[in-house]
Amino acid sequence: MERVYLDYGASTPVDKRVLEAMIPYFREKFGNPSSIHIFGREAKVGLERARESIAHLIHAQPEELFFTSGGTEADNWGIIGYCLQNREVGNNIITSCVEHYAVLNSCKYLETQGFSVTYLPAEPDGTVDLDRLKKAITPKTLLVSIMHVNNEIGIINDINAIGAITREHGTVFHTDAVQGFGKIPINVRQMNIDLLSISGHKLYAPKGIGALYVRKGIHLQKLLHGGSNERNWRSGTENVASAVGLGASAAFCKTEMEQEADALRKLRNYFWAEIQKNIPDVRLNGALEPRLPGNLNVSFKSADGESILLSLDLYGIAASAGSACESGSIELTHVIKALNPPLEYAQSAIRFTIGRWTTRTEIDYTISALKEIIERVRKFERKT
Amino acid sequence: MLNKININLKNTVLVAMSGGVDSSTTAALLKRQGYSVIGITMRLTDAEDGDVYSDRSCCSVEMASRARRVCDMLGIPHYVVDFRGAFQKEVKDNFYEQYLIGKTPNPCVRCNTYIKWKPLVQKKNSLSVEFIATGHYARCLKNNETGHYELHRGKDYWKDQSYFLWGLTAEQLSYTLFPLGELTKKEVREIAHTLELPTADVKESYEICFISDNNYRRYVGHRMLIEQRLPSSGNILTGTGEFIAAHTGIHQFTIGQRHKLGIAVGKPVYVTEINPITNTVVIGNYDDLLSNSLIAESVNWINGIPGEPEFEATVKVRYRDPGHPARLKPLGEDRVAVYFSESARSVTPGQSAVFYSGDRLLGGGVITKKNV
Repeated sequence: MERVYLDYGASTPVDKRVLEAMIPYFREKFGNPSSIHIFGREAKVGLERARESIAHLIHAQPEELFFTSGGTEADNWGIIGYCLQNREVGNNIITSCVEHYAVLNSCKYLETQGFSVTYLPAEPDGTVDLDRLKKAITPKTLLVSIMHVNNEIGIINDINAIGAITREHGTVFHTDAVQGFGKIPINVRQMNIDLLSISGHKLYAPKGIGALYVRKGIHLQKLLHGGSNERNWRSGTENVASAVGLGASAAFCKTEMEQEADALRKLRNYFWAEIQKNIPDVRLNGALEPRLPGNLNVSFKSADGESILLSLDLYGIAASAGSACESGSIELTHVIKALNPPLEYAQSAIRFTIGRWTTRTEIDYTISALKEIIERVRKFERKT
Repeated sequence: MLNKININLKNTVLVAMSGGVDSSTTAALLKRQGYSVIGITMRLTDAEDGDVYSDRSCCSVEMASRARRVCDMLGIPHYVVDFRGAFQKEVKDNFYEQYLIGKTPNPCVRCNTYIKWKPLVQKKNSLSVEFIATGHYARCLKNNETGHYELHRGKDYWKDQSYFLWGLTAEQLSYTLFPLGELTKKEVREIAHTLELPTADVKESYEICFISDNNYRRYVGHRMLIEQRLPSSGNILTGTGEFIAAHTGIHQFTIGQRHKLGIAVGKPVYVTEINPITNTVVIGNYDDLLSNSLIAESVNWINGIPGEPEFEATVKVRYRDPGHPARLKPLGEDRVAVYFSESARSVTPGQSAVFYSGDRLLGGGVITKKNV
């Protein structure tokens, strides 16, 4: 076995079909979509087709979708852009403790601008409790931001129910759908979602592209000023090829999503069963369902997570734990902390995310490697 | 690129890399010698005053990136491991506490003994790696008669860093490599240049790695403030008990100190003693700094006690100390009394006393008393 990639949650290879769809937009259809000539128009067509295909997947109108540089920009723009634009509506934001840093730090930034932020805790199963949300909403709440699928533990929040609550209380609902888009069904109309963030590189499309869905009628402050691209909502020449890539990926997902989710769920459950069978004292972080089909997040009692990850890498297996800080070391994540695990399990949350090309053979190899690794790490680095 | 390392346990080595020229050259040399090398940068401290981007701090982002670039160039894996907890406990806390009781600590010794050769070695074992290596100028040699590993000075007499390694055991030495031990600093830089290592020109770092401006007074004072510990003012006296001036905390002084005493007596005076119980600092003349003996505790004998009831050795009481011939009398397993043939200057409680027989390092300990 050369290399085994089990970190689809961090990034994904670009699907061959997606790459093929993109290439013309590097070579012949390279024009600036804002140009009036044929080169521009051809690029524009590609851009708009991509927009349609993405909007289609979440049951939105194409005019409600704007391309960004990625999920982080979408989170920033949706949250900061909405709040700064609508200060008169209120000054309180409700979010959860287990959001991605793009959401958390956007909220932290708004705190410096005079907004108050309520951070809802996560329940032991990893979800956000709906009663807590209801109780937290005040007349001053202008935005609720709760992620669709948690990036670390894969837990799926009931955004249908959250959307109903926010609609009832008249607050705007943003959801970070970076991990779930294209993998599980989303319907922004049914679910009462007002703002939604999308990222390309989690879905077999390139890095550097994302999108923000903005329900018609909602206004955001512009984050990027300049030309009148994206109907004057977001300046900057569009990343046409990558947008086309994201659009192509979304189109494939429309037809393949359900089948792929089933296959991944089966393989993931097999993986978890094998871990439990072969390695003692393991713990699943968050409930097994409702969970993103490809996600597994496991803690190993009295074993150092850093050593496990490094060992896995030396075996050619890629997984992740926590968030890599800039210098590259691993930190205990805010998400795992929020689940409040028993102390002897706290230092070793490893996230395995399988994807489109993960095979059973790869899982079997990983199990045999993990068995050796955990035994060795437990022997030499007994933690609490 | 290692895949299943349990197949290739032999010849794997973990190199502790700070991003400096010594550890980079260490990794390069070991690779050339045929070892499977893994580079590790230890994250030891958080930014102090937001200084993670400093060029010198031992785990600044810049240094870790340099180490990574070298590893990328050499085609070897590089990881950053988080030892902040252990470093705080074993090095920083000890540093602070020692100054509070009037001692002058040696954090580099503690880092070697309690970090590099403890959790880093545990990491090495977890990863199933055979050896650990650092860029220290020291030599680890196997004595073919006894079969034991010994620690010797590095070939570069001036640069020799064996002084800081007195806490190592023979067992640890059996899996430790010091590739730079047979080289001079000059030769190492030349090698780094020849190999075009990106770190060939990185400046030497002599400062305390976790205090970015090297100002230990500020560091200790700042922590006292945070802990709401008021500095105890006390007296500066002469050797005969005459009052000279008041001071604002013994943590600001070290034996042999001449400057920043806050007094002017018309001639050079030096700190000869610091008494944490009476909170007194004693000053004297240059010759008052001489000691004829010392006691060291927490002593580590690398290859066992060399001789009872006493034996002779050369003793260094500072890193940059030429070494003093002395008689050593072990007092139990981990204490020793040292009697100098000729008095030694600036023997400082808290610093390390390190014992040599020729080039061979017999052991070392922490100085607790002088002029016994």
